[in-house]
Amino acid sequence: MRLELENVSMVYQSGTPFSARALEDVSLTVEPGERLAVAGPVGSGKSTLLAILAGVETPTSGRVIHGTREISRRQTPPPGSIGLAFQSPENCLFEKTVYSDVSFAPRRQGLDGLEVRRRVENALAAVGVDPASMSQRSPFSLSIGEQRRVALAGVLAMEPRALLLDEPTAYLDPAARRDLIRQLVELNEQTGVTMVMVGHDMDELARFAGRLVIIDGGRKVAEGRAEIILTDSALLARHSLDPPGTVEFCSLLSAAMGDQVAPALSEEQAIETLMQIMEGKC
Amino acid sequence: MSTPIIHLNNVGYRYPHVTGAEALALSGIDLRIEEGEFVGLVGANGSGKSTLARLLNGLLLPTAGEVRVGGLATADAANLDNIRETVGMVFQNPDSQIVATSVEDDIAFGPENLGLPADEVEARVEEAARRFGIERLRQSEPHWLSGGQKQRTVLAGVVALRPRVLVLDEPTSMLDPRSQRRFREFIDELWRGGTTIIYITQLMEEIATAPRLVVMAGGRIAFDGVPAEFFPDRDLLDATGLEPPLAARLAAGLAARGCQVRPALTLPELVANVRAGSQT
Repeated sequence: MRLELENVSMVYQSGTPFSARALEDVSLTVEPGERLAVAGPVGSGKSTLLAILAGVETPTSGRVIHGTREISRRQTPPPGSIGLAFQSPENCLFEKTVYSDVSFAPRRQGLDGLEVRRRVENALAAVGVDPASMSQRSPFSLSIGEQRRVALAGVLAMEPRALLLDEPTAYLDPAARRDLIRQLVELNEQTGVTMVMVGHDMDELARFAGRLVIIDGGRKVAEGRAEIILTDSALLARHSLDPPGTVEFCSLLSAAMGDQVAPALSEEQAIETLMQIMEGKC
Repeated sequence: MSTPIIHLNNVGYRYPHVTGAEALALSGIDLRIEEGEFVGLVGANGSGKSTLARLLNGLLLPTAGEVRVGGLATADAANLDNIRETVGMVFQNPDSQIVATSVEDDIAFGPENLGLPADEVEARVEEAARRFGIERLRQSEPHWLSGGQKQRTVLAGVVALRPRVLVLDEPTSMLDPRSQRRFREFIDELWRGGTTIIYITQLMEEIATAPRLVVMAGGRIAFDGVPAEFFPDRDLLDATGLEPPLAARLAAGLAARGCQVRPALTLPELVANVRAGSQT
């Protein structure tokens, strides 16, 4: 599903002494099936942008369009069309078992028992949780990494047409982060669900995104293919962001070797570059 | 041998009101930390590192063994005031650690509760605010600050108590990369000034250069030594569920393709080793 923002501005507590502008005239189109990352420093407005894109916050001005339908306070998105995972979604776990938690939304959608079961099993499998051994466990007995996956499965079980994720890997250990990003990419490739992810870890965004938008001070300051934006160290630095580690490595290498080393966006690429530099010496 | 500032002797911790294997968070922990050390503490989610942190100033009491701070056992309630003046804690989320309605009141909260005279409180607030670059924000309401400024306010409030030991539990996980680096520089400065630092993190880059690394797995200490001995050890990495910093991963990737470069834990170090290797 295509998601669009047209000239969206957001002012919190407008008309009071506490008035704070969070977004300023942002226009953005998320194409159906793409994986878009939204990056920016802390406090840049990226979480507000995600909440408006999802239709859970109404902008002060501007239009929000889901597919062909304009979203407003009166015209909310159809239930289940948008999956929004807030920061630390495991805080929303509440049921006695993993199964009843993940099945909560599909049950409320009035689906029959077989369809609910199918959706729960697919959703758990998509995030790497084994339905057979985990369904009857209490979500509160799980590790934070497992809780995070179960909470995301609860969102996926609605089979939303767009999945919006606010820092989905925060607080996870390195192995759990890597797994989760890989599972999200696979899910997007297999089902074509549109994905928007907010984050500030550029290594992670490099592994996830096809396209990338940078938000700073409430404004959209850059937009483009991930490999173009993520290798533009000067642009990233202007917005308090670091390039991915592999890109930083290549610029350090360029400086030390005295000739230009092309920026690498993945570890495989960086190793390839190193092999060329070391050619004949190993 | 002198009394270590932190001494855990065969410590275990079992969470109350939880049944089954999940209840046992720590077992058989032996750990000595001397005054002035910098210790990086890492481990996968659920490995027990946050539980361990909470034992260090008596927020939790061990259910087996003994935790001593400067020779005083945390199990004796009469020692707790003294222990909590010795060991300051900073946690992940600054929002849950800020108590006052202005930055300066928040920094003053701890010293005032030590019962210090007003001019001494003011002197400590001023020093801590200056030290962490928030003196211009003294009158600000904390909830309008950025995440990095909030976390520095929290740190200033803890440092104003002049603790000899600072335990930091993933203090930068809510900060963007630039604020993370700035925060880390303040911590290094405190360490150089003699404060003992126990630094918990998920970011291996943050502890790659720490003089001592303690790695937790399954509620036990799986490694205690220097990072350069831990990260090249494939078996230990697998057993603890951790991955090495980028520089070490790249060096390992080269080695796997038959190209040996001197191992490195930081990118500048790897660049230097590659440069040396390519010119021989």
